[in-house]
Amino acid sequence: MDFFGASFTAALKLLIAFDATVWEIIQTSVSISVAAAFIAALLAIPAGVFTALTEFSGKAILQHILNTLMAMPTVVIGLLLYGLFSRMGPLGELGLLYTQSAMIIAQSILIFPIMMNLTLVTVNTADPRLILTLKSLGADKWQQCFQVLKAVRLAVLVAILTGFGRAIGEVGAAMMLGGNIEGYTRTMTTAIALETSKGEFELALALGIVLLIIAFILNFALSWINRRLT
Amino acid sequence: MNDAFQLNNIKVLYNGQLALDIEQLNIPANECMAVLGENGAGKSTLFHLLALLQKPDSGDISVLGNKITGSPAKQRHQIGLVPQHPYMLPGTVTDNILLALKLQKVDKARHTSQLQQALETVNLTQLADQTASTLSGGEQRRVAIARVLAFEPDILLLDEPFANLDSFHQRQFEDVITMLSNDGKRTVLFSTHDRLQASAITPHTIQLLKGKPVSAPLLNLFHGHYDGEIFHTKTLKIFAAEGSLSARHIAIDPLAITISKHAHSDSSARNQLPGRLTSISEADKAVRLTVDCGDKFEVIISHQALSSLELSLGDSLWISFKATAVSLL
Repeated sequence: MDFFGASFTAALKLLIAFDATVWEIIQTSVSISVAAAFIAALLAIPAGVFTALTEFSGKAILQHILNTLMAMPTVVIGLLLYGLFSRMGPLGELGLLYTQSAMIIAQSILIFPIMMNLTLVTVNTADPRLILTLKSLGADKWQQCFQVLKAVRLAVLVAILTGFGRAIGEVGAAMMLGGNIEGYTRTMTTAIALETSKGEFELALALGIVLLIIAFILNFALSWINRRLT
Repeated sequence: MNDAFQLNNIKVLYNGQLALDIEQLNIPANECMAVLGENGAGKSTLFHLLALLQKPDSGDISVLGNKITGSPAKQRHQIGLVPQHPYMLPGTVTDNILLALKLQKVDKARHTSQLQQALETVNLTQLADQTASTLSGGEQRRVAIARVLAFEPDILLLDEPFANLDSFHQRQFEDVITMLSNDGKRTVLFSTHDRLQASAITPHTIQLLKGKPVSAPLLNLFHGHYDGEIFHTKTLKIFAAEGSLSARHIAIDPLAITISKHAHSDSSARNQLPGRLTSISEADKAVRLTVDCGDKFEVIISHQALSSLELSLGDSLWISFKATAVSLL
């Protein structure tokens, strides 16, 4: 218990002293996950709205696939992308392995189904009169998508925040594709794994505290949005 | 002149059940027409079909002479639908109307004038800056009317405009519909289950019974079966003129029913039923009586007849009508 208490105090000191290593890792982590959330949102939200508003054969199967992909293990994505980006892989020449770009791509793929599915469900459960009203007022497909998105914007923000939360907390793909290179691809989760294995419990705990704070802020934001929605 | 709508061999199914079955229906342009029918008769389905929001399972529709094929986006610009429970888009009343103008691609220079005109028509100028979703049901319906009037559609469809409104607001809506249809520049269709309310606005009606247009007036509508001479409801036996044995409904025109204090043995009316007077109300320059004979009958008589019969609530009286006044449906 003494060990845990001492580590916790040391971790707080690292954070309060604005330790350069700690803050560099936090910055890397946040910037990679923000970029991934931005790219995924850009693709997943229009895809979710369009899918919800369009009837086509195979829509139910697509929804099943999205539900399955929402629970996809991050190491599986890491494994597949590692195969693509490694020197022997079909995209090996791009030299993406062990770069931040590879991590952003992996996290984007990881959170795309979450954002798309949450958007799809949001639009599906929106007041059915909204679409009928827009159609009867002469809105074309794109105008319908835009207006629906405007009406459900808070719920879509929930989808984005949920995706970001999943991205910043994942470790498998980040480790496999980023390589945990200090000052470049070392994120909070990969650093925690490394430092713990090295016995550097203070740094790992400091980063763990930051991750918890981010999770708390995200949850606070989500519950604030939920209150606004209800 | 073109018809506003031409419907041919239309069938609409819900969960395998026929919700609308129209062999042929032509709705003339630039007239006001009421669509009458009980709840579940298919009025809202018909309106969704006419507003091109729903495709029929079979059959075809023409709007102002143009047959609808593929995407009806262009024809939708000619039609304005005001649903029974309109959805208010985010923002103020003005935002709602301006968005409609934008979606309809109305020239921006005309936005202000058309917004003002639409607001004035439905007496909403005072509420222009209010958040639309916070308004009362009647006010929201007025916003929905202004929202479609603003883009000046050739056809205006009002689904149950009088539902859940108090008598003051019902009167207000009657005036609005009369005003909108009086200039002869647009086709106005409204649905209601109240025949007398409809007749106060227009003599032209489409009557729907279980998804089918019928020619008989849908007052005194009873369910039962026909044995070739008598129609049996749960409580009454009513003589009916010849008709199909498959008929499951009858309707009796309230104007074809006479009232007397005693039975007439010499009357040519084969149907004479004793009953009790349960309501007296005014209805479009006449008097509407409800007589409970086991089933309730609506009867229309003149003010003169009312005073000469010296009727009062609770009186026992007889209603009489000929077998030929009974429409088998």
